[in-house]
Amino acid sequence: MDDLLAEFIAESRDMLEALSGEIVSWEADPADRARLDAIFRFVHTVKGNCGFFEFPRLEALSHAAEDALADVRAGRRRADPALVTAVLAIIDRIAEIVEAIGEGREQPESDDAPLIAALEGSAEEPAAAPAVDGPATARKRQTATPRTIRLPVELLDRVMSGVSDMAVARNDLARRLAQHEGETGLEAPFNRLSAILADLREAITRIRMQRIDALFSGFPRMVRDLSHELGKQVMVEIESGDVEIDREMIEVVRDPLVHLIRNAVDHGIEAPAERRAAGKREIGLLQISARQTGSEIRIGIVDDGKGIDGDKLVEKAVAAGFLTADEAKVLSARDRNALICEPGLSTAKEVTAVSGRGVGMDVVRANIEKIGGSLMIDSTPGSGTRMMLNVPLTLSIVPSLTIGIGKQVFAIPRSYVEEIVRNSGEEMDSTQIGGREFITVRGQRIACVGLDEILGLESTCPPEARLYVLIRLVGGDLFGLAVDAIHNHEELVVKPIAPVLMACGFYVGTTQLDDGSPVPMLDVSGVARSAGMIREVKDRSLRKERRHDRLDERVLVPALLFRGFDGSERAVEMDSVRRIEKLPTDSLRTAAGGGAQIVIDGRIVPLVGLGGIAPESEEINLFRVGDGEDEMAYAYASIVDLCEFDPADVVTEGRDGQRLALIGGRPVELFDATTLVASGVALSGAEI
Amino acid sequence: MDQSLLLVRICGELAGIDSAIIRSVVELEAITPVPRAPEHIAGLAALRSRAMTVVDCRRSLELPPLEYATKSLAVVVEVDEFLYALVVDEVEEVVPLDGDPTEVRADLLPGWARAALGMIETSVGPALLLDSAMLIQGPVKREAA
Repeated sequence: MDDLLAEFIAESRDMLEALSGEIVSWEADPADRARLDAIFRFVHTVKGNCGFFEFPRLEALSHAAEDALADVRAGRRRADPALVTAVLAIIDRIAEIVEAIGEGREQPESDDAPLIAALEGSAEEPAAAPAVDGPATARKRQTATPRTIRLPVELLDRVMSGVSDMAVARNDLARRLAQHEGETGLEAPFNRLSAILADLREAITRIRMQRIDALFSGFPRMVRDLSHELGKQVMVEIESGDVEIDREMIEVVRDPLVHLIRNAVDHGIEAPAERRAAGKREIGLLQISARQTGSEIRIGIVDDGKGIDGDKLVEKAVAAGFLTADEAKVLSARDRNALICEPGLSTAKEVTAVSGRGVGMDVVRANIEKIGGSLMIDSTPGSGTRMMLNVPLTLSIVPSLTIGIGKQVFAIPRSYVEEIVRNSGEEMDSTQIGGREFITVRGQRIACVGLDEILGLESTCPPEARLYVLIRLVGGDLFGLAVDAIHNHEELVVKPIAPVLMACGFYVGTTQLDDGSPVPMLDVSGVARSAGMIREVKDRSLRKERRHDRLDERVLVPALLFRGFDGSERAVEMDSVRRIEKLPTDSLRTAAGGGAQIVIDGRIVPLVGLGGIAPESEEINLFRVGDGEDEMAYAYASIVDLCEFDPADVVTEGRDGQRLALIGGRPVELFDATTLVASGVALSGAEI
Repeated sequence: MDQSLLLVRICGELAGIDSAIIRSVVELEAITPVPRAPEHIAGLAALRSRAMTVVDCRRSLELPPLEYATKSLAVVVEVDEFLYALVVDEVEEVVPLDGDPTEVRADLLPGWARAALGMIETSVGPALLLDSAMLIQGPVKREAA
C-alpha cells in the first residue's frame, strides 16, 4: 500500500511538472486538442487513482475538472479564459494536496467549494458554435515514453560516493605501486582497473544530469500568472537546446533565474498601452534559452521591454557614493548595467509586490558567484535587456587552482583567475602604500593582499619569491592575492562544506587531492570582502593620467580618503597617520554617550568615528594618530582611495574651522589630526 | 525502537552519544587545519572519499585542551548529511538506553550545560547524554562588549 501511494505521488508530481507548460499553451490556443487531451488525462488519472486511496478532496476536485473538460472535448463548451483560470486553480490545489500527502503532512486546510463553483460559473455562458470534431474523432496520441526507472536519490548518491571512494583507493594503490622497484606484474591489471574506473566515473556523472527542461517547464506558468497580476501581456519562448545540467545545480540556479524572470516581466516589459505608444506589439516577448559551451552552461533571459536606463543608474551610483563622476565616465556599457547589482541601486520607480519580495539583484549576483558563475547584462534603452547567466556545467567538478601558504593547501576556482604574476623582473613592480601592497602590472595599479594575512597564517616564503594570483571578481573588480606557491591546475570534485565552517565566510566547499587529503576551497568573494577589496579596487587609470598632467613644481600632500561610519567621505593627511589597521570588534567598548575605546597592544586607546554605532562586523578598520598619551584611534567604514591634494587649494570653512581640500574635483573635509586628538581626549575624559 | 548509546570519556567524564547517528569510530591521522574556523573546529580529515569536519569536543565544551596526543580518537557522526569527527579522549562501550534522560538538577559547567540533553544511568555509572549538534556548533560567540 505504501509503495502504491509513493508511486501515485511520484506519478502525479511528474505529470504536474510536465503539465505546467501545456496549460499555458492551451490557454493561448484553447482549440489545441492535444493540449486539452493532456490536461484531461491528468485529472482523469488523479481521479482514477483516488479510487484506491481515501482522498475525497482530490476526488471531488479532479472529478469536477474532468467533467468540465469533458464538456469542452465534446464540444458542449468553449474553453474561455475563465474556464482556463478555474482549471488552473484546481490543478494548483491538487498539487498542494499531493505535496502534503507526499511529505506526510496534514492536508492544507482550504475550502475547495469555490474552486469547483468557479468551473460551474463559467459554464453558464452559452457555448459557441458546436465544435467540428466530436469525441469519436479524438485520436489516441502516441506518446513514446522512453524506458525509464525511478530511483531514490539516496541510492544514486551512494553509488556516486562509492565510485569516488574507489578513485581514492585507486590513487593510493598507484602510489604504493610506484614505490616498488622493477616489474611487479601488476601494471597491466592496474591500468585496466583505472580505465574501467574512469569509464564508470563518466557514466555516473551523466546519471546526475537532467535535461534543463525540468527547470524551464515551470516558467511559462510563472510568467503567465505574473503578467496577469500586473495586467501585462507576455509571450514566453523557451528553447532548452538539449542542454543537460547537474540535478543539484538545477536547485541552485532556480532562485536566481526566477528572480531575473520576475524582474524582466515586472520592470522590463511595459504595460500594453505603453508598448503601443512606443510603437511595439502589445504582447511582450520573453525568451529563455540555454546553450552549452565547453564547461559552461549559458542561460539567457531576453526581453523586448524598456531596457535599463544606464544613465540613471550611473547617476544614482554617483549620488550614493559608489563611484566618482570621473570613474563613471570610463565605465563600459556592460559595467554600467552591472551597477544594477549593487545593493540599494535599483532604477525601479517603485517597489512592486512582485519583484519587491525575495532577493535583490545583489543577492542574485552573489549566489551566482558562489557557484563560480557569472552574470552579464546587456541592455538597449527602449528595446530590451539581455541577461546572460554563465554557470559551470556541474556543481561538483570545478576546474581549480591549488595554491599554498606555508604547508597549507587551498583551492580556488580557476574561473576567477585572470593571470599569475611573479614578483620579479620587469613584469611587475610592488610598492607599499598606506600599509597595503600595490603592484603595477603593465601600467595598471592593483591592490594586493596576502592570503597568509587574511587567514592568519605564517608565510614561509621570502617576499620577493611570492606569486600573485590576479583575481577578477564577477563584478569586474580586480585584486591580487599573494601566495607562497601554486601547486597545480586540476579538476577537483568539490563537496559542500559543513555549515559551521561555511559560516566563517572564507570557504565554499571541500575537495580532496589525489592522495586523499582534504583541502578547503576558498570563497574568493569572501576573501576579497574581508580584505576590503570589493569596490575599493577599481581601475585608477583615469586618476593616474590626471596626476601626470599636474607634474608641476607644487608639492602635493598624500592623504588617505576614507568613508566614515556616518557615510561621508573624509581625508586625512598621510603624515599624521601612524598606522592603519584592522582589529577585532571584541576589543571594542562603546558607551551609550557615543564614546568608545579599543584595546591596542594591551592599552586602552580612545576611539572616535563610530558616532555611537556599534559595528556589526567582526573586525573594525581604524587608523591611529598621535602617540603615547595623545594616541587616538579613528574608525572608518572603508578606504576609498589613496590620493594627493594640493595644500594651496585648502580652504577653511565655517565657525569650527573645518578645512576642505580639493580631491578628485570635489571638496572633501580634511581631518586635522591634532584637533582630533585634542577633542577625542576631551570627549573620553568627560565620559569617565 | 531500541536506542543505544556509545559511551565516551571527555576530560575524565563519561558522556553518551546517540549511536543512531554514529557512522564509525576512527583514529585520525592527518588533519588539515582550516584557518579562521571557530576554535573548536580542528580542521578537516578524510573518511575515504568524504571530508569530515573535525570537532575538538574539549574545546567545544570549553574544557582545558588535552595534553599533547599523537593520535586523536574520533567518533564519526552524520548530521544533516555532513560528517563530523568528534574528537574524544577515550571510547568506552555501547550501552542500551533505557528510559528518558533525566534533567540535571545542578549547575553544570557552561560548556557541558549547553551540550547536555540530560543525565542517564548506565551499567558503568551516570553519564551525560550529549547533543551532537550542539557539540558541532561550539561555544556561542560572545558579543563584543
